[in-house]
Amino acid sequence: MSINQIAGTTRRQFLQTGLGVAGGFACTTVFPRVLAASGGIYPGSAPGIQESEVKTLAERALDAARSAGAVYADVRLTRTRRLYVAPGKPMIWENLHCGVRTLVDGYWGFAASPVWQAGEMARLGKEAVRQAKANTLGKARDVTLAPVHAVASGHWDMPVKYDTERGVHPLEMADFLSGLQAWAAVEFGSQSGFDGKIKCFVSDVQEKAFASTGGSYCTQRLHASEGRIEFRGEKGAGMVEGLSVAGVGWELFRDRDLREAMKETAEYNRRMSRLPLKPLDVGKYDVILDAATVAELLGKTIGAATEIDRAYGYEANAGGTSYLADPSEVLGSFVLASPLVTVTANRDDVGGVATTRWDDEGITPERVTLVDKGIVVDYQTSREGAGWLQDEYKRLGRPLRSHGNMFAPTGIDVPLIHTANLRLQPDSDPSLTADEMERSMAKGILFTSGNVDTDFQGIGGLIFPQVSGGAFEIKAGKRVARLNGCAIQFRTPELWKNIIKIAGPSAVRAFGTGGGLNDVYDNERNAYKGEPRQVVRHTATAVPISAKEMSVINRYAR
Amino acid sequence: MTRDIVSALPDPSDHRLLTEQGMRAIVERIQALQPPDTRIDIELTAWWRGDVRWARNRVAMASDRRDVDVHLTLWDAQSRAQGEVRTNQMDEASLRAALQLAERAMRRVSRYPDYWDGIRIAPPLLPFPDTAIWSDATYSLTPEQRGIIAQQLSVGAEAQQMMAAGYLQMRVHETMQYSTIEHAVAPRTQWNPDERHGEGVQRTARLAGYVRCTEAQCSMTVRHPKGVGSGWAGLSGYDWNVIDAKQLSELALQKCQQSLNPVAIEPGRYTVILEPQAVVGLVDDMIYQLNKRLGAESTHDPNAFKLGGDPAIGLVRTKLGMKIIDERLTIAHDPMEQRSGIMPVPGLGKITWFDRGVLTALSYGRDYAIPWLHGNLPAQPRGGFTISGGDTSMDEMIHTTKRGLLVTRFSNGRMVNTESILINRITRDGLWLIEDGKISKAVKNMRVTDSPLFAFNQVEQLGVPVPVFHPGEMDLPPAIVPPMKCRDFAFTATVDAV
Repeated sequence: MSINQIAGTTRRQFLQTGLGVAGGFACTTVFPRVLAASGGIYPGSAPGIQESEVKTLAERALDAARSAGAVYADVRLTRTRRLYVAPGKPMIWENLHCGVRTLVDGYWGFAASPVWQAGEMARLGKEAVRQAKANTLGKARDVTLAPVHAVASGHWDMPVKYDTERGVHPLEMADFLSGLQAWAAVEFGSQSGFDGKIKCFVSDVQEKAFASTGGSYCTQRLHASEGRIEFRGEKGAGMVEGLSVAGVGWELFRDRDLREAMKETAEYNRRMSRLPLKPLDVGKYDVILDAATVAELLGKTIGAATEIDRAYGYEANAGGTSYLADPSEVLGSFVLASPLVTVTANRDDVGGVATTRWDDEGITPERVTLVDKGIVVDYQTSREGAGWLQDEYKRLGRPLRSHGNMFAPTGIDVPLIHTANLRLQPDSDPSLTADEMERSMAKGILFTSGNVDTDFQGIGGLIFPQVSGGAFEIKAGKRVARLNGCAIQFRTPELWKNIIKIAGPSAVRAFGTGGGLNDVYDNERNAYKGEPRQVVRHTATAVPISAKEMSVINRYAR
Repeated sequence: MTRDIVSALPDPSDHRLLTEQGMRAIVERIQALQPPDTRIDIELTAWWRGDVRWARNRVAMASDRRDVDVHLTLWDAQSRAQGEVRTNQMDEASLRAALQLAERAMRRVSRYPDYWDGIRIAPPLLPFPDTAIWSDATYSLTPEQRGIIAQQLSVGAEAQQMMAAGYLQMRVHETMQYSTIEHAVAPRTQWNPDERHGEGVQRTARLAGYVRCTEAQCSMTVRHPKGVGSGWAGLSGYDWNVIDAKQLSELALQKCQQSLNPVAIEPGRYTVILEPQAVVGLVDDMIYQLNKRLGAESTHDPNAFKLGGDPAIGLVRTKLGMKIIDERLTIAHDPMEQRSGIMPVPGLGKITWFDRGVLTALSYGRDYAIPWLHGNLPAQPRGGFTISGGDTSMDEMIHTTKRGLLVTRFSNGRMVNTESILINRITRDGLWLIEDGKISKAVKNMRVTDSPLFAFNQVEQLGVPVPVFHPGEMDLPPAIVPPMKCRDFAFTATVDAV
């Protein structure tokens, strides 16, 4: 029995009522919805994104846009269910959104609202055209949209093991966390001394329909989950690693022995805290950056900088532009890094948080090499963004097409180019493990769980350890001391060129980065794009690297 | 200064707002569906926003958007267990489903009293301060008008072969709060002196209030096409009429042209003249900390305004009453300040954080304030602040500087040390060297590692406070601050980004 049947009517009846009533925002004419299903109380009662009514709604918006004069239009309908679980307490936040984007004479317009209803679709289509037309009166603006090679069609489910909406009850997850917290209080704390913050598990499920006047219609079901386990007691403290955002479900917690992980974290921290604390001698050092640090570095210095709209000046008034600024001087010729470095972008990594079957323009994303043996060879693009590169692509003999980086967090957001999952190619030598890199270093500094703080063009910045990480002095392959307050001050090209070693395949780790639970402060201040701000995450797959002669400074020195 | 809701009512047919009437209807429908033996907390919000964004001297996107949020918290009258749910759907079936879901979570939790993790206190049913932060000019600027404005704002830059990027946004926000939740554990409080420990008194439900406000913002960056210079200007406020966009575009262009081909200078301590926008960038994180709820439970969290936990009495000692910044500075949260347009919080009036340099208030959560402070300080503003100033003009500040730097604004702030509010920032869009009372050359951007607590003890001159660009979407809504000259400001590295 579905929730709507309990309410005395079926969802379909509600829809028909809704269709009959004109008007937008009035509270009586809204598509009835599905919270019950997201609570897992009545599994299966949620109207799937694949139902034909959704397609009808999308087409209605496109028709309205077309007849109002749009040369191109696309529409996104999203249902976003966010589940926030603290010990014992689940909280659910569910939103429906619809956004229509139109192109008229080279100018874009956008209109969005929370109402999934036929009359509203027509209004949004018309309104988006009005927004675009309002700007067409002045100077001309040229837009070349890269062609669509395969019209998007069908449905795609991101593969996860335990779907947090359909596969597991929120109260079960809440109980799981309560149990973990109770266990941790006994394990690590005394009566008074435990400050256990088994903070939370957050999981987003998004169902999305996309349609364009180019004939695309596709639907997807996407997942993103992340968690935070932080504990502090008399018998141990720490923050469990490996819970950063990923394109997975409840298996992020369920399939891990978290008690063991907490014990290991506490044990590791105890061991490290026995190392003497030493003041830093500011100067040049050889450094090792662990995989987590490198993952951050990839996103901040290569991911953001290769977004073509940043390079092209579109983010000048917001998050900033890019040091890879003039594509004609960059593509195929800008030496960014040592020949050891090859970085690729993809949106098909299993478990990647930026993974998708179609981007928000209906493009099937490509695997793209951004940096090939140290040389920048491509940008991350949308259809319009690829159009800006058409002369360059012609010169280089490459086809004109979007790499599929368009993304809108929900239907209410304007789609922008966002970074795909990034991957640093490991060394082919399997014996180059993370431990081996440490062992083979005669003298230097190791940074673990580093944070990367770049300027507004990504051209330079600081690397410093997060709370859960550290900076360690290494002598003859051993950690001999903890160094307080130290940071690497770098210029991006120098850092990547100074790399002398990249670890092998056994050291590969994936991290979700680009803002999130573990970096709330960063969310609001730094890692953003667009006006209003959008924070979008991606997965970076990295290995430890070592670099020579990096400038290490005292972060606290004024 | 009373709010005249009737005359300012927008055209109801365009559905950009739910209006007070519409929100009341939704609250009543939720009330009708509310399960027996429960108390409820409802927060309804709705927003509309019309904006236009441009880059490379052309409009890149224009949009019209709106959304709502129904935030429901159900409380079990006996066990005080809680169930929470949020949605943006307001039809009968969705609301019913939302309530069922919240109830389900609540009932489940109530069986395990241990899950209840602290003192839960209701928001007091206090009215919103009666501020008038509504501007018809903001609300009624049409997309066509926005388009024309945006085009005009890049004409000057384009004529000079520069590239302008910017953003213009009109926003409306409305909210209704309603609550029947009792104070769960409360010794005598100011609003309920007779209430006894742990016992709820049946009270009649009533609407806590409705408030709506407008916000306008306009900002732009003008850059040299080769990326060798950049200038910025912007302003936000509730009233579009007071924002002179044309002047902003001229200022941004002027700053860009004056900042071309900057030279690198040695990092170190410099006397700085901070434009008001730079002062906001400096002080934001301090206000953020003042705003952060303090409580007995948070002794572990480092904070610049705490002296540390006192285990004997189980409380945190703070720096309240101590003079910790320059006595010329008074910093206040004042919802009645018309020029800033602060979105009001129910029952909250003016808070003076610093009175002539003395720390006089800290923000407390109600969980802490009610049992420990007898409800006297439920101070949780959503931000917004004014800083007192002086009467020194910018010209005079420059004239009286032998050697120093003039800062337009900061970007990329990141906390280095919470206890001293030491923060890394990067100067952006205009940094100049002052020599012998004159601006001598444009300087390459630099990284700053300094704290407002240090800078505010090294103040030399203060100018007239003015409203600055400080859009209210994030945690710190509008601000009115003066330009400021400080000595020994720490620039720690040169930065290549322009």
